[in-house]
Amino acid sequence: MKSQYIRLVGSEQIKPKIIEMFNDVEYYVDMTTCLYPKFYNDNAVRNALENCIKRVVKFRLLIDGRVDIENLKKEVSWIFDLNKKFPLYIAVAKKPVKHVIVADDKYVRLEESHSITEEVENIKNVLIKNPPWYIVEAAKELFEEYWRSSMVIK
Amino acid sequence: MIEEYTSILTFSTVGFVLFSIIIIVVQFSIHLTKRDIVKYIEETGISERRLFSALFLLKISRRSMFFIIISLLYVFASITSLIGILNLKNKFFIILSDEAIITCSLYLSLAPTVAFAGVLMVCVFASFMEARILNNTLNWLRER
Repeated sequence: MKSQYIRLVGSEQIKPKIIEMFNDVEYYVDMTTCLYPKFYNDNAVRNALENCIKRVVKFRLLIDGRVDIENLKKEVSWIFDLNKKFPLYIAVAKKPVKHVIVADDKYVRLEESHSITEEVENIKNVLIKNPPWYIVEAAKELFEEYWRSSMVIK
Repeated sequence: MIEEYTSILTFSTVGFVLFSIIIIVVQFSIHLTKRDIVKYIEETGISERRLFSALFLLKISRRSMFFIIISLLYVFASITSLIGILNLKNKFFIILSDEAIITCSLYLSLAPTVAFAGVLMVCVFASFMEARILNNTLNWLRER
């Protein structure tokens, strides 16, 4: 299948594509993120993410080391409260990480480097649908490196 | 006439061997190029040009269908050239002594060689273009 490279700027452009991705995934998601509350508490995003976690075989969520985890647990508590019967694994990185999503070998999302306080409105993203195998492998390799050196909390 | 058949055979063989070497070398370098992409995503200092080379090599290495087509064309060109040479030397097939049929068999061996060069060019060009699209997309993400 032909690869599609979609350039997105700001949350309004990213939101529908991320929702579409979460709705489409069936097997696994590996995701590094800040879990920006304003974005993930949006009803549509929240529903899609929640359903995705309940549906997939494995969902690994790696939180950026720059984030105040105790504060985040309050702001997006619904993620941390998801029942243990769902295959959700949450870890906190010990250092800043690049924000990457790999899902089902069908999607790779790369986000530009940004400071933790930067507004989501200005952040650039690339969503690759049906990415070439080596982009999937590279993104997975990067995620595994981060995951190995992180601290699993759930 | 024998010179023509021999040069077709030589051209096909040289092209086939070169292409095989490229494929083998590229397969060995895949791990390195994959690391380059990881480094680029992580922004740990590899250049745009190096990223492009990595993408281009990876793209070209996955064109196994082209490799199969080229191999088949090579086999066809070799067989028809050899038949042509054998026939001209030993009058192997009496029927081929007719001038029109000799010309026909020459074109039969020439056609796969031309197609071979065409497929090779398409393979390189397609890999180049696809690598460029991906390279530009990744660079856009890095631009401030």
